[in-house]
Amino acid sequence: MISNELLKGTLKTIVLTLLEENRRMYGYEITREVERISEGKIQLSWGALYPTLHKLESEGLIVSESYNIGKRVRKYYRLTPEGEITSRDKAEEFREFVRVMQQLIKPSPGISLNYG
Amino acid sequence: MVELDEQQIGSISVDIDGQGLTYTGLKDELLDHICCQVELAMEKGMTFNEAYQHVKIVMGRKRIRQIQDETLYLISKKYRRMKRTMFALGVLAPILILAGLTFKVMHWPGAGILNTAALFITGMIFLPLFVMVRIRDTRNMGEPIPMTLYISGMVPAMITILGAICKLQHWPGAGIMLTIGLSGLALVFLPVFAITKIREGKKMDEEVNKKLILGGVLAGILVILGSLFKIMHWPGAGIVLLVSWSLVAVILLPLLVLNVLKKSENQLNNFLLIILTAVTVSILVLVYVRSASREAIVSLYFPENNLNYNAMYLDRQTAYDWDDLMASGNTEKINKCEVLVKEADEIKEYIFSVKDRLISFYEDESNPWPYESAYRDLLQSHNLANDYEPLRIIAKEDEYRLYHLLVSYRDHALLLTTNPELEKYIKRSLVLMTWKRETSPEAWAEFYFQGPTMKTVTILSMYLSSVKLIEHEILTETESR
Repeated sequence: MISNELLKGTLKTIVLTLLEENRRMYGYEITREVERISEGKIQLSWGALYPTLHKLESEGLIVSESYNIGKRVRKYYRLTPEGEITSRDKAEEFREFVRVMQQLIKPSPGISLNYG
Repeated sequence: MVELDEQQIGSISVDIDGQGLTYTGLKDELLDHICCQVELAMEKGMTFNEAYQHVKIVMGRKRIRQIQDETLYLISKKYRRMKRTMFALGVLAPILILAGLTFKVMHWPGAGILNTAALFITGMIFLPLFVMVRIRDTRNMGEPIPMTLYISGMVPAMITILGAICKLQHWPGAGIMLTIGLSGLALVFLPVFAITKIREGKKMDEEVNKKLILGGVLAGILVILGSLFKIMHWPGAGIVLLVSWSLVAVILLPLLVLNVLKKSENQLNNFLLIILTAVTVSILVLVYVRSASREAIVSLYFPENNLNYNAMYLDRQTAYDWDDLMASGNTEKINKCEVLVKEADEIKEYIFSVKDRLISFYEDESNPWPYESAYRDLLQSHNLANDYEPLRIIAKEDEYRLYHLLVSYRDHALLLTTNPELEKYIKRSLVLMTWKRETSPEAWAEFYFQGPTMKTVTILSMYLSSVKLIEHEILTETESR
């Protein structure tokens, strides 16, 4: 299990990346998909997911469409053109972050800490 | 694959509503989410009730309200900043206006800037922010947005305030903007307001005080039109203002206060009401303060109202005029004074007409420079090459008519009196001399009328007073002989 503390800053990136790969998704589907890909290590709480989705929508990065599914309404989200750009930027930023974190936590032998 | 039926979905929906979910954008998807989870649990063999209980435990009972709060918090950062700014400006603007008024009354510098800033803040920032906040609030509550009402109120109000700024700063275009803005407020916004309110009340099945709304709107229209007439110096302003303010003070205000006290839940509207009242009162006071300087000119314009002049008559108790002499039936005396009286009347008429032209010239906004007022006027007076209004009228336009009238009057008056004191007064008061020398009309006009307008108006009034005083003295003398 990955702690919520660590997930906090990456939730937007996760949602945007998933939407880029899957064209359109609804909230429950996103939580299921994250669980599937991470093999159960990441469980998105809906309490974090829905506020994030609405925030992204208010920023114009994603748009929503509602459909009647059987007896209830299902709200699908997809990326806007602006969202696609942001999605790529965020993913790149995160890869950079991971690289730097790896260096920080396990400094490779190539880096000299001696500035003299 | 299990799918929930309508009744099951309905029971979950009622449950969610019971937990205080009001933000409509969120409800559908939370319902869908819970349904999906319940379906998943049911596929593993649970009954609906078991599955729903299980899901509720997993999710925690309080979560729905928290999700809503968090969502609203995240998507409304800008809105909250906007609202805070709006409240701050709403408080700041009346304070600035009152400060400006204080400065104005105390004749400290900077009053104009303060008032302009206050008006700018009220009209160009506070008002649009208020409308945006209102639109946002209405939308969040899922009610229809009365766009016509907002636009028809905001646009004329902004134009009016721009006009007021121009008026204060003596920039061109104030008249046309005030006319358009105030007419818009009175004839478009207020009727739309009344219709919207009454229709809204009918729809919500609320008891709307129709009389209050109609009376208020009618009074509002009259007040605004009256103010417009007053500002533009159109005839009929007085009566319209009198009727409308009486309506407001005697009937509307008590009704309104009662109504507001009855339902105090709508804080935002009450806040606007207080701010608007404060601004209105401030502006009214401002208008009166501004008109004070104009009254100074008006009192010169009607020298009969001049206290000194009246006091002189009252004091001596010998007011005597042409009508009294005519009534006496003494033909010899009447003939003797007839020319003098006619000439006095002519001078009086003439001086009134010059003042009239001067005042209308200074009232006319199409004249670019007089609005820079006395200061500019004073500067102009030191530049003799410059043409300017009093001299232009008296010397050029009327070809020194006043000079010739006064000379003729003086000569007649001197013939009619035998009183050496009066003779001296006539010679001295109808001063046609500069530096104690009799000079040409050109020099006379330049000496007396090439000054600030206030000075020349005063001189005109002094001539008029002297002429009337001399007329009175001579009539009295003739009668007593």
